[in-house]
Amino acid sequence: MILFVDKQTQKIIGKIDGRVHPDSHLKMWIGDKNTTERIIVPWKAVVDGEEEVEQEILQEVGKDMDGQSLYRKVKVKKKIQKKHWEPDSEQKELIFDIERQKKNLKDFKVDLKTKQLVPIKAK
Amino acid sequence: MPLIIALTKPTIDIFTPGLSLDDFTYHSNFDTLKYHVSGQVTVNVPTTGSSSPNVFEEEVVHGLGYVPFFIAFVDRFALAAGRYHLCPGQVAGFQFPDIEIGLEASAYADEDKIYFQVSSQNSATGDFDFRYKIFRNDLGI
Repeated sequence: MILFVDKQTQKIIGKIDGRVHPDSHLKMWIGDKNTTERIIVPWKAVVDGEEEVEQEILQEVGKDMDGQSLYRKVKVKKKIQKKHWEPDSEQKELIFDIERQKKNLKDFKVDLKTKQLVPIKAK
Repeated sequence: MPLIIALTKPTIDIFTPGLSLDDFTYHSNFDTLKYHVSGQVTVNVPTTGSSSPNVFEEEVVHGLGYVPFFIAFVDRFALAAGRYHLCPGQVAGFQFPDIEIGLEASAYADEDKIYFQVSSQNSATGDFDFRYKIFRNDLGI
């Protein structure tokens, strides 16, 4: 998720959806570049542990008369890392809620010093 | 024989004779919209009145270098939040002897940007929430 914040009011004037942003998203901007700040919400992979799994792989066993490699399928056991992705932020639960639309981004503004979402007080 | 990639909907056997395009989730013989990005933009209308034009606008730089296919919806357009209307839209445009009332929300594109506009004459003020989706498909304009 990429947020665009009015520097004066700290209101969120726009966003770009997503967790991983290609270069084409990073070329985008919302609002006037002189009066708007961009905040990219980073995500990180968190390792939950290791798990032993059985996988089928192709193992080279030789070459044929024409020199082409010959393979056979074999089952091997290997350890893999179990991971999940989460926002790299102290406010990760809030960001999850906004992504799942349990909370509305319109109810928040951004403290540009701390880069944290702050609830907008109801009038 | 050209290769085809096709995916039928659940419970439909791809080898059933006489399938229609509605039976497929995807079929490589038919072009598709290529998704680029989605997002949200807020246009604030601080004042309204009789001055013309009373138009407020925000821009999204899409950076594609051509005019893309896009679609935009606006919330609060009929003044009740949570009801999204396809852009452009006009709530009302009528004229009394002394006063003109109008509320219009629209979105348009050029090679660099998508522009989101709200025009309010003697009508609503506040934040108007636009939701957009931009596709890689070139409109060819």
